[in-house]
Amino acid sequence: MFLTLHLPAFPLQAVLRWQSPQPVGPTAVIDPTQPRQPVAAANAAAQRLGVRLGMPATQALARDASLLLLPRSPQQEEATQHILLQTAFQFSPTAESTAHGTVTADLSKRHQPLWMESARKAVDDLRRIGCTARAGLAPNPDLALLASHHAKPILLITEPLAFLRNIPLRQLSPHPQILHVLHSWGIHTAGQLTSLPFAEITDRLGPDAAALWLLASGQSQRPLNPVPPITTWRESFDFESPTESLEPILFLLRRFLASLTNRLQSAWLAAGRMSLTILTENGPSASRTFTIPSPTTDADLLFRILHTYLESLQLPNPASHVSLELHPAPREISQFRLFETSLRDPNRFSETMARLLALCGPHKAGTPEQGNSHRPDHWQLSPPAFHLLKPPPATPRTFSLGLPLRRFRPPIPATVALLNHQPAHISCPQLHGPITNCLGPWRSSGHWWEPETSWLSEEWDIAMPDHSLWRIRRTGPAWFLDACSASPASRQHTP
Amino acid sequence: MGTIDSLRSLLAAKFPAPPPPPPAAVLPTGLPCIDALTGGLPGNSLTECSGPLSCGSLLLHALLETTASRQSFAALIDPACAFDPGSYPPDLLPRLLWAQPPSPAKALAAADLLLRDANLPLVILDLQFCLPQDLQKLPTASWHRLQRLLESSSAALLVLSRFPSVPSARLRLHLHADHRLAALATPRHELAPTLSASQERIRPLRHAHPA
Repeated sequence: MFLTLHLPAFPLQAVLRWQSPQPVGPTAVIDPTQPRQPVAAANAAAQRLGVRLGMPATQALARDASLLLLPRSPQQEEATQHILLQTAFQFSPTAESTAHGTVTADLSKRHQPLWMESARKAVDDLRRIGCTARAGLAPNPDLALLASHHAKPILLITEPLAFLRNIPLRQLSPHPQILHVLHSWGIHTAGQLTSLPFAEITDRLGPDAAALWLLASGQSQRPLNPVPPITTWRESFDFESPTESLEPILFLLRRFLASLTNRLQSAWLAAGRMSLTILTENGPSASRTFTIPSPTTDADLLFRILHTYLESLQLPNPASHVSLELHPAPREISQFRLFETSLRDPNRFSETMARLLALCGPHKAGTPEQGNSHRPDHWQLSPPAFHLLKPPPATPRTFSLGLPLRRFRPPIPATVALLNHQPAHISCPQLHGPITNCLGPWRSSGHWWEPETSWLSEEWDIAMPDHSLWRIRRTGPAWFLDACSASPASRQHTP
Repeated sequence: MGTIDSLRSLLAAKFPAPPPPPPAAVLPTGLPCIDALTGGLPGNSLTECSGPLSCGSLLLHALLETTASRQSFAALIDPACAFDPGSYPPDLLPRLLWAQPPSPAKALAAADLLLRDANLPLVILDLQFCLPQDLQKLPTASWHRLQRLLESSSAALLVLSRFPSVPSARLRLHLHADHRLAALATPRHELAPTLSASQERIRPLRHAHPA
């Protein structure tokens, strides 16, 4: 069984998908690249006025002055064709791009009860993103294509001969000469043609007529010309005149996301990454890829991420083109253990992190990680990945000694007097006086093999008369006040 | 008066008071002196803990241990950029978000962001190393706004300070300790019991309001 999805007046539907509000009167699409700009598609209201395909634009306008003429958009047609193919791939790995606005999928691997359900779902999915589709189901691709043109909106062909009996031969797209001969014989329908013997037709009119006879009898067989599955979900739009404000871009992105997430949901996928590109008129473009911490199809959440980014984006020239591409990823499925906890909403946390970094500054928020050195206070902040943390192994905790430090960043230069090779007096803006007791020295060094980055330090823990505890460090001849570990409550520190 | 009473009853009927918030979960700190006194840090509340630096550091260590053992997460907002990760066991750090806002005012904004996010059950705001004159400049309304925000969430906000400086704190504790140089060579788990705590204030929780 084969399923053919067909979008009537395809160039018109492709253009109208992004029109807001939708035109209600007679509307037609013209091809501005062709001489005399012929009509490429027209809606029912325009056809009632006498607008026909191929008619020059001026002639079409002469039918009715209220006729709305829109330019054809190859870009939108390609995007809509992708949507059709992605819809077909939901039901079969073998799908063919039969024509502009028409795709065919092989449903032979699906059970018979699912055929109608597949067609119904395909039409519904396409309706949700603004496309009016027809679906034809038949035992061979050619018959399915014919059925899709007659469907309202779904047509299942179980008896091909009964369906084809009254179909005009013209709809089978025969060779014009053969059609002329058959008409001269008084043969006008498929039923009349198949009433003639196949061998006699083939002898008199040749192989083209034989193929037409097989088509008319519902017996034609041809393999599908499969296309590779489409793995990116993309929407784009060219502004008729470049825009300087953010609102039109946000409006478009909102609609892009509604369409793209609907399509992803239909394919049981979620957005793992999101790429936004904004082209400007004769200027640099803006491009950014967002990683979604927890793959999702929540259009509101994805929109918030884009909105936050665009609020701070400055473009030197007006935007002329915007495109958004979602890179799908399998949905995140995790089973928590009884006492295991995770972030409630990793995506919201990611958004909060972006705001926090904007508030604190770059690299000023994150999870502390030791740098690639044993140098004291050599730490860096990395983006937290709380939602990916696994429960720690049941090992005893690391032994900790003494009081935690509070560091001065940067360290404060100090003057230290030694007595018997031990610090005896310190003077600096934060601390001044004799040292009553000390522990040390704690010596460390590193990168001795690289003269430019080698370091050597000597640390001491000192106690002052007011029982405050401090850490000082000597690097070469210079002394620094590094940290404080304890001080009386009455003392006020000024870092 | 009769008119006012009838107006009040009309308003009460038209806009009924929100239901009282559910009983807040208490987050144990791991410090015996605090857990014995209050059971821990009350959820959806602002708690201020004042005292010397060493007490704040030991409380921070205990909270990081509790967070790791519960497989939970915590945020430390550190406007003075004084936190020393090297003083803590490395296995406690992956569950910590360390934010370094440039000023105490920005630190309050960071706390507001994290509490609205509602992903982290514990947010610690360390003001112990900040200049007292900077803390005095913080508007009182900001602290009350944070407490109002907490009332509609389940998170706990702990402010570490040298002296009581948070007017809207629902629970205010004061920690005492006297650590000498020998404490630097003492195992940390033996230092925790040397702390003593006193409770200075506890306020009843108001009705929750949307933030």
